[in-house]
Amino acid sequence: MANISFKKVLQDEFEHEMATTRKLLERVPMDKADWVPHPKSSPLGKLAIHVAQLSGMGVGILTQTDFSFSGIGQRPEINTAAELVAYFDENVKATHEALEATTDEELAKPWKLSFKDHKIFEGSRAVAFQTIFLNHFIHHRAQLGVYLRLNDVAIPGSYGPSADEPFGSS
Amino acid sequence: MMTKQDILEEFNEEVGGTRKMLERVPFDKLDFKPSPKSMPLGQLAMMVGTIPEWFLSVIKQDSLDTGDFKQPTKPANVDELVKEFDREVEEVRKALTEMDEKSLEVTWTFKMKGKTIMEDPRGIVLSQTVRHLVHHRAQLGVYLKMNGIPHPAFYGPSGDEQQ
Repeated sequence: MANISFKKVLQDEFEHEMATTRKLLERVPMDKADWVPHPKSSPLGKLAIHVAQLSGMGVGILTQTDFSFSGIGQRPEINTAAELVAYFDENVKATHEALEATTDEELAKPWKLSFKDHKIFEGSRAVAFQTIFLNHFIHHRAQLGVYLRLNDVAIPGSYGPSADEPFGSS
Repeated sequence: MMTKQDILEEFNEEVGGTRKMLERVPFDKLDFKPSPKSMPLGQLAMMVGTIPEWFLSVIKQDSLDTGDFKQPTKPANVDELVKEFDREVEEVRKALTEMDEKSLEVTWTFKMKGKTIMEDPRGIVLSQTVRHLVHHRAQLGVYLKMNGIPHPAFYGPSGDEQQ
């Protein structure tokens, strides 16, 4: 087997993705919270809060063996980018601590996710963390990036340069 | 410890959703740009459709220079886009299954005109490539939505679909 600690991989990836996200959230124009790219889309404010909230989802995956939710929990009242980032930071801290407290053995254990009795994922906890949490998170962050671009906000690069921040600019 | 099976599982988790997205790409709207600075829809769709090739570069070589990158052949229609994606997915699955576990530790380097931009163990690069796929696929989803095309459900139901 390769000598790569999954715990370390997840920790490094998590730190990196959260740092990128923070840069994006700092720029969210919460005065445009009602803006939608399309009538059926989630409004900008709701999407931004969802991203900030999702950063805490890692806790459930790391501490529960059979996770089930029938919908997103109560969203807090957030009106400014500063409040958004503060909320995000709290959730990041919670996932960070849960990740610190886990072990490679725990991460290899089976994990399951259902939504109203419908099975969405079944596999190891580590892959659940990457798929149900991190990928889900990145998915919504990327959507938020497009929303911000459409509102003329400069976007930081996620995986290399962006149209606003070429290589070597950071 | 991270295994090639973990990477294969993670890859497989995202393949179905990616295919659904690609099936919906409107070939009559390839020039669509949500904003002047954005990449056109066609370019983004091609990127998402050929990301499996990136996995193959990471598995079969120890480095890649942007100068060596070959532009993929543009598909003439959505069937060709999806067919090529399917073909590449099978190659990735095969390569991941056949690779040596120890190969995940080997350093893989990404270069731009000879200059090292990023360097990490192969296992980590493969994992990051999944995230990179998710990122661009999510952007494509917004583009499609803006063109009135329903968004597939990925991590729970979407505004248009249950899972």
